[in-house]
This record gives sequence, structure tokens and C-alpha cells, in this order.
Amino acid sequence: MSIDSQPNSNFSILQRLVMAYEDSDAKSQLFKTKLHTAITLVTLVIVVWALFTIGQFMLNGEWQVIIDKRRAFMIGRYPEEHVWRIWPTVWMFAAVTGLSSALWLRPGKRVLISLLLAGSIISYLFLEFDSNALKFGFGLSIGLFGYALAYFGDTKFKLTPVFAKIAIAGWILLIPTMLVLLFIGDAPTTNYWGGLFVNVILAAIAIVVGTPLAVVLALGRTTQGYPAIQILTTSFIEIVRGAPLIAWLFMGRFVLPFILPSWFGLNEADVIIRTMIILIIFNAAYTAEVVRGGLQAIPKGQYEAADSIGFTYFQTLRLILLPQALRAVLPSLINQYIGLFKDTTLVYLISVVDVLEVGRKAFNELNYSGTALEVLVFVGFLFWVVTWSMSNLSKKVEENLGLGTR
Amino acid sequence: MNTLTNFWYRSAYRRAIVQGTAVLIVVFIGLGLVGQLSNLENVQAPKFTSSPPFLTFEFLNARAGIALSHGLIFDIDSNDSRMDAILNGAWNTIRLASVLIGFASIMGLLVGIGRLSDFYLIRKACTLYVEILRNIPALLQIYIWYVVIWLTAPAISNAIAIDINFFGLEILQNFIFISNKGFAIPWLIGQENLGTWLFVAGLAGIGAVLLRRYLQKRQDALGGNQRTNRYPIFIFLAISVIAYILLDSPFTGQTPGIIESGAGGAIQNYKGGMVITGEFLTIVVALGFYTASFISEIVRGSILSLPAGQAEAGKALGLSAYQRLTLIILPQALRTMIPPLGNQYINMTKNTSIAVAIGFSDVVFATRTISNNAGHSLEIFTALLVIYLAMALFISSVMNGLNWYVQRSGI
Repeated sequence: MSIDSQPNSNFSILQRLVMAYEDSDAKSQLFKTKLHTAITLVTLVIVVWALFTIGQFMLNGEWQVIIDKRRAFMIGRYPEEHVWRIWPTVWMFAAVTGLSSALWLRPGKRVLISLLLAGSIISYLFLEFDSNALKFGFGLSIGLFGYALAYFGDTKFKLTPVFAKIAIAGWILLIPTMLVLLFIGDAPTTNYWGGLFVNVILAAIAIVVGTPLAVVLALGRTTQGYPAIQILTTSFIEIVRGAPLIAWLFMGRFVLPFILPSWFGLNEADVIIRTMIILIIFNAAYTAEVVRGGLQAIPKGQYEAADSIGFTYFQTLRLILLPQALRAVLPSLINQYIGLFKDTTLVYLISVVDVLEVGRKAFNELNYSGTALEVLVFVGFLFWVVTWSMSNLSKKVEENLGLGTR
Repeated sequence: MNTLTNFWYRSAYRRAIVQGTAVLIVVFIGLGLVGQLSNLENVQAPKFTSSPPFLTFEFLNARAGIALSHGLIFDIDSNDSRMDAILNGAWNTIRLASVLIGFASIMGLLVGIGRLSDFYLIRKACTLYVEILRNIPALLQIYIWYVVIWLTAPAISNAIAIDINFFGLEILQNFIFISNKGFAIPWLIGQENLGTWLFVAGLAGIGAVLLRRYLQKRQDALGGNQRTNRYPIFIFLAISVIAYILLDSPFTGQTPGIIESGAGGAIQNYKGGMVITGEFLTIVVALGFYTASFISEIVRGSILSLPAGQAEAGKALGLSAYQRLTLIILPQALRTMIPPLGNQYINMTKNTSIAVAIGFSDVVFATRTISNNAGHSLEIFTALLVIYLAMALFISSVMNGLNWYVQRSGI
């Protein structure tokens, strides 16, 4: 019987801890045998040492560089007067996330409070209550408002279907809105893009454009009776998967500009667009393999059932194959996306200034020499937060879909 | 109209039409690209481009003009051909990948088993390891290890030298050097008779294997302990040592040293022994720990996929935890483990290309430098693609063979 299942507020925290220790298997485990005791003691020493080292690093590290360069970390050298192009996307993202999490995920109060706390700490540390802090806070409150709206709309007024439609529309419109805002009017060229913003955009575009392409490739590879299409898609997938991303990025830099046709000025396309093309193709080939796993897991009877009720190919695809296949491979799909997001750090090789490159430039400056570890740990933390929450999200979605339980 | 739809619903015709269209589109795109290549007016940066005729590789015979270090068996200098430079880079990649595969497998196996431990502390520690390392980009981890190693290791001018002393007897002086230029450890240097000795030792090895097989058969037939390991090993060692003495030391050990060059000994470097460079070490440590977090998930998944009855049966037989692991769980888990493990190895081999970030001279480094010097980027990219495809095919064929063996014999 653990303490969680029987909360009793009459006990003090210390008493509760003692009870938790008595209840848990810790008591029976930590000092079970001599070996266990030895491991426990060694772990204790390591933990104390690690806490001490980390604490010392946190206290004595020169974190000024991160405070000074906070803008560059987020958006590179994007001009100040154009930052308004970015904020609406952030707000929209916050609103849609709030709506969807209330509709489909139902995080507890604890998650919301910690989110709020993290948001305030971030805005305090990095934005120091200037106008950016207000904009950030605005985004946070929009998110919470969306959550509350969907929550109470569901419990009090039964408005879930409406909100679900709004949320889905929001997710679909998010990337187009972002692109329109970034390119409309006399926008700064993509040479000015940088920072975490570029990592997020590259990953988002590669996922949104690459996944449908991947579905097409996977269908081509698993199709029966069309050997030419099978050979073409298989060789495309295998060739793209054959070389590392770095090699493809070099190709994007040196070969792509002179083999692309000159329509729409494609061969004058700047480096970000070329990176996008490479990442889309790369992601499509890898995701195709994931999707293929899902397609192959579908029993033959499903195809036969679809044939027997006279579905056309596209009806079978839309109503029978894809829902089951994508559902089955959702965890691997999210893993692939996380990997892609991590791989966007490699774009520095074709001189895109992503967040890691901003960091490297920062600690190579004379003013900030000797701050390499601080910068790298900070950038690592940024990535860790995003990818870790993505993988937690996928676990939650898996639970809600009932994957692995039926 | 009716005949037209009938035409479309005849599956043979439909297949022909659909496939024909797809092939036509691909051919059209291909022709377009080739046409674009020939139309060199569009070229933006002539220095990096190729020029017709395409996909000819004569330029690889020219002088490379770059020196690659980190070589174990051979370093190349700037007078060697470009082909040699690329092959040396490929050799560096292969060396890195093979060390990494060993390191990451062992580490991943330990962590994966640790995540399933009954002991709370070990379980939590391994989970923490996986959750942290899996979620940080590999490039960033390489930078962090590079900074950490660079900060902690001393400069070569005051490199740490390790001696081996035995009760005051100085057996080996300056046995190992540690500095930020890497480790230098003693290594073997071949003399003129090395080939003969290798031949003799190889024959002895084959003979020992045959003897072991014979003894094993004898033991199976007659019972008793026929010392199936002891005799073959003894015979192999004896023949090798005698051959070594008779051939007048075909190889000798060499301890590393530090040489000074430049004005006033300003530039110092290792000489002799084997040098494991700081870059090599950084990548092995960083990518090894990183990939181990993925391998541990594979190990954990395949152990969890076994029926719980297997471990329980082992318990019922009174096997210890170690015996249960090595005799019951791992041999069975290996069957589901091998296919994803092969994928992971291929991924890791491709990931070694990140090593260019800290200046390790792998195949990407070599090809990029040559491409910068000589152009011909299309041809060089093709070569790079072929090299990586060959490595991936090699790994997957080895893993397929292993898979076949495990499925057949169950180890």
C-alpha cells in the first residue's frame, strides 16, 4: 500500500516519508545483501559527488553569456522590427496546444501548474519583463484560456465536437500561417533566420511535408502487382537511407544548386530552402520505412474485407489501411520525429546558424571565452526539454489510443 | 466511354498504364536533371561543380594535396593520390565504427539489463541514463565530451606519463602518455619475418581449431573430460612462441615517446607506439554512450517480449540470477534483438560522419576537402554514397548471417 493511494493529510511530511520508506521496497532492497549495501553506499557517494559538482557548476558557471545572448539563441539575428512575424504563430501554437490537451490528453493540475511555473521562470530569466515578457505571458495565458475553454466547454456545455474541429483546423493551419507571416510583405530573407526558431521550422516542415510523401513511398513499396513502382520506390528509399544526413547536406550545398531546374528560380534558392528540400526527402525515406512496418502489420483479411464490400483503392486506403497502420506505428513515428529534430543540429554544416551554432559562435567570442560548457549544457537542456516532452506526449497518446492493450 | 472504363478496369491494362506513367515521370525527371547538368550556364559557383563528361573518376588519380592523420596502419601525406586519401578516410570510418559497435553493444547490454533489475537504485540509474542521453543531439554530446576532455587533459608539453614499477623495480618507463593530443600506448612493430611468423601462427591456429573439434567429438563419444580447450591452446601458444624465437623476433614492442620540432621545440608530438587521438576518443565515448541508450532500449524490449514463464522456470530450477540471464533469457532474447540491432549498427556507422565537426579525418572529411580543392562534387558524392552503402551492406549481411545462425541453432 503506497502513500499515493491513501493520502492522509494528518501526517507531517517527515512522517509520510518514513511511511513511504517503510511501505516501499526500498527498505527490503537497499540493504538486502552485502552487495546491495555496497551498491547503495557507492551510489550515495556518487549522488552526493554529482550533486556537489552540478551545484558548483550551476553556482560558479558564467551564465551571463546565456542571458546576454538569449535573443540569438531563440531567433538568431532576425531583425527586431520583424519579430512580430513570429509571435502570432507562438500564440496560435499555445492556443491549439491548450485546446487539444484539454480535449484529448487531460493533463493533471500538477502539469499545468508546473508549466505555468516554468513559463514564469523562463520569462523572468530571459525576458526580464520587457515587452517580450508580456508577449510570452500573453501566449501562456492564451494556452491556459484554451485549456479552460475546452475543459469547461466539455464538462458544462457539451461543446467538445466544436472545439475538436477548431483544434484540428488550428493544427492544420499552423504551418501555413507561420509561412505566410514569415514571407508576407518586405520580410527579411531566410539568411536572417537562426536560433532554435530555425531548428523548429526545419523539423516542422520536414515532418509536415515529408510524412505524406512517406506514406506514398511506403504504399509504393508494399504494393502488389506493380513491380516497376516497387523497384522505383524501394531504390529511392534505400539510396536516401544509404548515406548519412551530413553527406546529403553537402550534396544540398554543392550539387543541388546546379541540378535543380531554373523554374521559379529554384537553383538560386537560398540555403534554408535547400536544407528544407534535403530534410524533407531524408525524413520521407526514413518515415516510409516506419509506415511500411505498420502497413505490413495489417492482416490480409482486412484487404479482403475491403475488396469484398467493393471499396475502391482510395476508400480502402483512407478508411481501412492508413488509420490502422499509422495507429500501430505511432510510437516509432514520434521517435523518428524526435530523431529528426535532433538531426537539425547538423545543418550548421551548410552554414545555417541553428541554436547550437549560435552557442558555438557565442563561446568563441572573446568576451565569453571559457563558457563553452555552460552554453552547451544550456542548449542541451533546450533540446532535452522539447524531445523529452515529445516522447512523454507520445506515451500519453499511446495510452489514450489504447495501444498495446488490445 | 464504356469501352474506355472497361479498359481501365482490366487489371492488366491498368497496371501497364500506371507503371508506364510512373517510369515515364522518373525518366523525364532524370533527363531533366541530366539536361540541367549539361546546361552549365546555370552554374552558380564553378569552383565546386563538376564539368562534363560526368561520372568519370580520372581526377582521383591526381595528387591529393592533403594529409590525413589519425591513421592506425597508414597515414597519408599530401603527395598521395586523392583515391588514397578517400580510402584512408574510409579506413578511419571503418575503424571508428568497429570500435564503436563493440563499446556501444556492451554498454547498451549492461544498461538494458540494468533497467530491468529488481534493485531500485540500478533500475533508476539506468532509466536516468537513457532518458537523458537519448534526448540530446549526438553532435551536442560530441561537443560536450570534446570540451570536457580538452579541459581536463593536460597539454602535451606536460603530458602525464605512466610508469610501471614493481616493488621499486622500474620495469617500464613512460609506458603510457596522456595529454590533450590523445593517449599514446605501446604497440607492436613488425620486422622482416613478420609474414612468415603470421603464416606459421595461422597454421597453428587452424590446427588447434581442428584438434579442438576432434577432442570435442571424442568427448561426446567417450565421455569424460578430454581437455577440449587446454591442449589446443597449449599447442597453439607453444608453436607460436617457438616460431617467434626461431625467426629472431618477427615483431617487437615499441613504447611511445614525445618528439619536439619547430623553433626551440615549440611543436611537440607523439612518436612511436600507438596514438589514440583525442578526437577518436571523444567520438568513441560520445557516440558510444549515445548509441548505447538506443541499444539498451532494444535489449530491454526483447527481454520483455519473452514470456514471464521462462524466468520463473529458471527460478524454479534453482538457477541464480546470473545463470538465468546467461542461460535462459539472453539466448532467447538474442533472436528478437538481432534485426533491430543491425539497423542500429548501420545508423551508428552513418552517425560517425558527425565526427567531421571536431576535425576527425573520416571519409566525409576527405571527400569534402577534395571536393573543395578539385570540384567534381557529383562524382565525389557518388563515391561517398557507394562507400556508405558498402558498409551498410556489409553490416547487414553479417547481421543476417548471425540471425540465420541464431534462429537455426538457438545458440
